[in-house]
Amino acid sequence: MTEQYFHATLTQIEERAKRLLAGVPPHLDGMDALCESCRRDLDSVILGAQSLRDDDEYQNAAIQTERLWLLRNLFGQLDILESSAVAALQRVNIDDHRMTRTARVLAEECKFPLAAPVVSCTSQDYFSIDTKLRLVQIPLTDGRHLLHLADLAHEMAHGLFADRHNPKVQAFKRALREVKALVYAHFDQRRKDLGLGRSPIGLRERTPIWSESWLNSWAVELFCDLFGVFAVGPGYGWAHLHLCLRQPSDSHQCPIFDTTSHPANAARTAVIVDGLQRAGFGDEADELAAAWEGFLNLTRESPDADFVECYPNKLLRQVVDFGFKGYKEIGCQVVSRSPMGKCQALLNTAWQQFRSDPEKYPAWETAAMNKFYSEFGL
Amino acid sequence: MNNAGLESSIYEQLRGYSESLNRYLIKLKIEPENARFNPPKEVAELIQGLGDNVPVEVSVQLLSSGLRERGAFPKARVKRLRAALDSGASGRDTVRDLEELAQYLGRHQAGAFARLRRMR
Repeated sequence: MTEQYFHATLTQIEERAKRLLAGVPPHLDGMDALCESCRRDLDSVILGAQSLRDDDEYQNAAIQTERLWLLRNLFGQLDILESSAVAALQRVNIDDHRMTRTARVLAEECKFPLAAPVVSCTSQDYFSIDTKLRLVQIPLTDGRHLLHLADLAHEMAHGLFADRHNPKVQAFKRALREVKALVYAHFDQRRKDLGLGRSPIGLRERTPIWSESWLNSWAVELFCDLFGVFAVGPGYGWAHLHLCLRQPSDSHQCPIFDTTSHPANAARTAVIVDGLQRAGFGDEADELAAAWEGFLNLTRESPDADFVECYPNKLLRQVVDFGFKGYKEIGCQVVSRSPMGKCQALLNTAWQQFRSDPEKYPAWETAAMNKFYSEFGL
Repeated sequence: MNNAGLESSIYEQLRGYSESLNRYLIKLKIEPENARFNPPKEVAELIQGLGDNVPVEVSVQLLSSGLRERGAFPKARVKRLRAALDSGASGRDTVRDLEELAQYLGRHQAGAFARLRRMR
């Protein structure tokens, strides 16, 4: 790769970042922190590009591979900023303001230890979060409805794992590490046991895939589910069930060939139900468990022998124990029946209304949202 | 729920490690006398995490399983690398190890980026 190529490409990065910087609004009510993060990151991209292009040390022939990686990092940073945060900030509307307010009120009610994220209705998929910029993206019309908003709490929880050094989140990460140590020990022992005698065909080969899935992502996802349960309450469980109904999936999925990002819905439901019980919502937990059974009857699904191997009951219970401990140790407040925060009450009542009188629900939802947001002038 | 939250954390953390590691490599190559005794905290943290059975950070966990799957960087090699950096006795072997690690890091970063982009 020639020096001219580096020079031209880095100049292009610099120009692109400057154009994006000019497009970041100077002030947006409730979203100034995101505007500031964008400006800071774009500024660092500009400085990085100038340095990689102009500083003498980067002209050295021996370090061009490293220089290329640094250039790629700048591109990556810029691509993400352009497609998520800057794009979101350039089209902010009333739904974005309402959803950002929802996240902020929920964060206050559960005493979330980090700044509440900005929410933008620009997702092309389901709910997601850019943990660095603290930007949650939700689908275009989800800002007009309440039933899935409990999932904001799940996305907010992902932010707790992104921060490497913030002392406010360390207890939650330590709790996760305890779970991962138990997972590691469990599957290591299982692997040894299976090596001693005869075992079902393929079980020995599948066990490491399950172990890796648990360690790489399932434990995190289950912790985020628990955060949703403890921050919102039963409404989080109903939102989860609703999502299971919406999307085609194998409720008892145990990966065979490769790791997966999310645990099976049946395992997630078990953790959510157990979490609700732990939070003091025993009756609601029973109701949700019964509804889950009804769902399985409808889809004619049942677990096979792999399921208990892949998701041992003991591990699922330990996840709840440590998730509960970690949640409280970072100073978060477990939702309680009374008094419930305004946002928590709104999200839970929405589910009660939807389930008890689905026909009148749309009118109720519109009125309830207008009342809630009018307090904030939205 | 999709896994963008997790992927976003993984990508951003890997990018941070990659940035530090590549900058450190540049220093080692350009001014070895000044750089070899001072691995940046982030590089030291990464290498320490790779030697752990259950790393705290989500990105190190993923990188660690990926390396294990490929048979690259077994624990003994990580331990050697860490000892070399700690003692300031880093020579060509250390640079080669770090270069290889930077390559693996880059590959995982590319994977995380691709998964992230597909979601957006």
